[in-house]
Amino acid sequence: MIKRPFFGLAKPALMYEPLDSTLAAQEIPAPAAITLLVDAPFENQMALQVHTGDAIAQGQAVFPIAGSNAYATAAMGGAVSSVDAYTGNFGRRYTAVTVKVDASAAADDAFAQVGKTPSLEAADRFLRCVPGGLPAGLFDTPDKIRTIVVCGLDSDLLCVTRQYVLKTGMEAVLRGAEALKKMLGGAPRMVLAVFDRMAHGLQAGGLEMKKVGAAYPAANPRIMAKDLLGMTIPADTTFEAAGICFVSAEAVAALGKAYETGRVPDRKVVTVVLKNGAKKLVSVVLGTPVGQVLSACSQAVSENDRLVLGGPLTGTAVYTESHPVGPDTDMILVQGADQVFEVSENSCINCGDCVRICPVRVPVNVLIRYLQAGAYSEAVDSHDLLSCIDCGLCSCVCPARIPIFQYIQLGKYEFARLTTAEADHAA
Amino acid sequence: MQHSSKKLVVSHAPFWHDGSSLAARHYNILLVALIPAIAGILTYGVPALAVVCLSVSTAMLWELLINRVSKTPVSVGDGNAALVGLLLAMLLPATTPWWMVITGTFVAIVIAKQIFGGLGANPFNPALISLAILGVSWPAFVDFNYMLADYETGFNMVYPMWSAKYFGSASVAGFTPMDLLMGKQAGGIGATFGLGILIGGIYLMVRGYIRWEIAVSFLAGVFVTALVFNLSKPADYAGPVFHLLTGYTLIGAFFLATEDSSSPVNFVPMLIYGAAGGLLTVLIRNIGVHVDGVVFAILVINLINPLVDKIRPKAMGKVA
Repeated sequence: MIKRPFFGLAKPALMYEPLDSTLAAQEIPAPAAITLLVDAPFENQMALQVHTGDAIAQGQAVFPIAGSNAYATAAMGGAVSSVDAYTGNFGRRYTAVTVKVDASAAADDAFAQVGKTPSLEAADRFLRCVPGGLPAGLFDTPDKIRTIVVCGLDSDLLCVTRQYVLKTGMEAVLRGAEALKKMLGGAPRMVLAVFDRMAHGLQAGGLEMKKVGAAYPAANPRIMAKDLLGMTIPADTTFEAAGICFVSAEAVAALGKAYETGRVPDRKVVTVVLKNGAKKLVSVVLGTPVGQVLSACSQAVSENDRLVLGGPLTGTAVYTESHPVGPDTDMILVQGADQVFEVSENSCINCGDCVRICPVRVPVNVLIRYLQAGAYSEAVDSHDLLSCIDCGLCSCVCPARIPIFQYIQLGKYEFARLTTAEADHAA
Repeated sequence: MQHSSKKLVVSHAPFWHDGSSLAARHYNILLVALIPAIAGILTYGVPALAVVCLSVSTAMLWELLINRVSKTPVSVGDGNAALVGLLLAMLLPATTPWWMVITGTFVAIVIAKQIFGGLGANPFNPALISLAILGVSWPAFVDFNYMLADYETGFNMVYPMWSAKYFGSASVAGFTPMDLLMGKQAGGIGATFGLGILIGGIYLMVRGYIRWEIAVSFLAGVFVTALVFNLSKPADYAGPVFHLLTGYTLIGAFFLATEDSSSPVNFVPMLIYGAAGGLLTVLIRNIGVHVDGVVFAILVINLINPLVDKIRPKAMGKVA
């Protein structure tokens, strides 16, 4: 938890967590069942390609919905025990495939056959869901990418996952970066972003090393694009359209391992922060329910606690302990009921704390009024809604405890819906 | 995916908060405002205590009444109503009649704050709107020379602002800066003990509960404008230090101009807003019709606040 500094005149400085050199990842035994959360809505039984009882091979890419390219890689083989619909934030709909693990299940060798030399097609087909997760933009617009930034730094507070991967698996990262470069025809500039304090003695090989300060949100991609690459990405443009692709160092290391061994890596490093603030690093089979990771860390979860996947400023709270560890789950944060603060329905008092802490100079005090009134177009046009980099600092310091970050996300979501509807109407 | 029956708390990020709250903010301001208020009560005795108590309590009651009538959550606990009541009392003479105090808090809380939408939505400082309406309605009752005529305090009880305005700078030569700082002057209950207001103001600036840019630029505006007048006609216009330490200048700079809702938040706008307030204050005092200019000066800068606050740095990545 953070505290408003006594001398409130000074901005509170939130620092990224340094990696404790004594931390070593504890291997958590494979679970009895894993869940694959696939980014495709489960709308009707007819479109389902995977059914209860189907055998799944270890390493198999599972495409549950016909007509959708979305898949998840099964870290363990076994038999499908259930297929359900799952709803995430802002109505995002997923299909959850639960596999009862069978240790004697066959391994899928499809990747081993095509995975001799790195190619974008094979990566698209087998490696999207490697631990760390590859960004969709890598496959959607590969010819636009000019720079690849390998992120050896963690994007949220408390998390040390990527720093740990960098410390323990630099060779795999370098091999993966080489593979990534080959996939894109050898053209892109390869940058390795690391925290200042980790840069010393790091062998970056062919990667151009860029150092980032430890003050949040220096590791935010838009801030890095500006500070490291000197590119201010226009608010309405994606990174990929601007020619930059940010990839987690863990995903790059997983690529390296995949091409070395011929099989898709199945374990992910996760930082676990317990209720008492203690930190653990664990190595988890992808798809393991969060609850099992926590019981392996001897953390009991009780009613009214909060389970957060991701960090304290930008993570996502989940409503069930059965939620699986996914490719991008760098961190699990458990908060006891006493650590949960309440948001309010207060209106903005115009104190300006949010304006002073905003790293990108968004006029949050005025913006929030438009968002509360549902005036999303005005919020975008004249109050810089799209400039927001989703760091969450404004909500952290708001004395009125307005859920500003949530309003901003809702605003972006509604604005996107509005523009899509207008485009559809015009077409 | 199996779901356990255990209910977890689900909410949007962020999952940390720095612990600040509206109540903490308002109670901090309220507490330091009590320093000059108590000094005023010690000087003026029970009548002053009565005005302060009545003002704070009725302000809270009006707030509660509006909460009940409009069926909104009770907001008395956030401390803002009590703060507005205290600030209004600090501006009034110690002998203000009870009905005027109640009318004053009614105007401040109901008309100037709640009708506009409550906390954070008031375009003007509620205490000042109230004082302006009281002053226009019953001018004699906010005239310190008239209201404090019967007091025996051991110091010169002529209202220094009035004296300087009508009899020139020589008439106030007897007021030393130390006297003024220590509250040895006639004026509002909580507006005369300059040292106490300064200490409170500095505390609030350092804690970040008020925006230092506004207070400092307001004082700078008063100082520079008064200095220019004083240099041009030393016999007619009192010096800058006198203007800083008399009337409502200090309480205005630290407690009134800095009111959150009616003041800007961006750096340059805060400087413009504060400096304009200081300039207007001295203009009204020296060449306007009112004895003290702080009330209307701050109401006027409240008016320009939304406009000046549009001067702001460009957001990162902003297109066009």
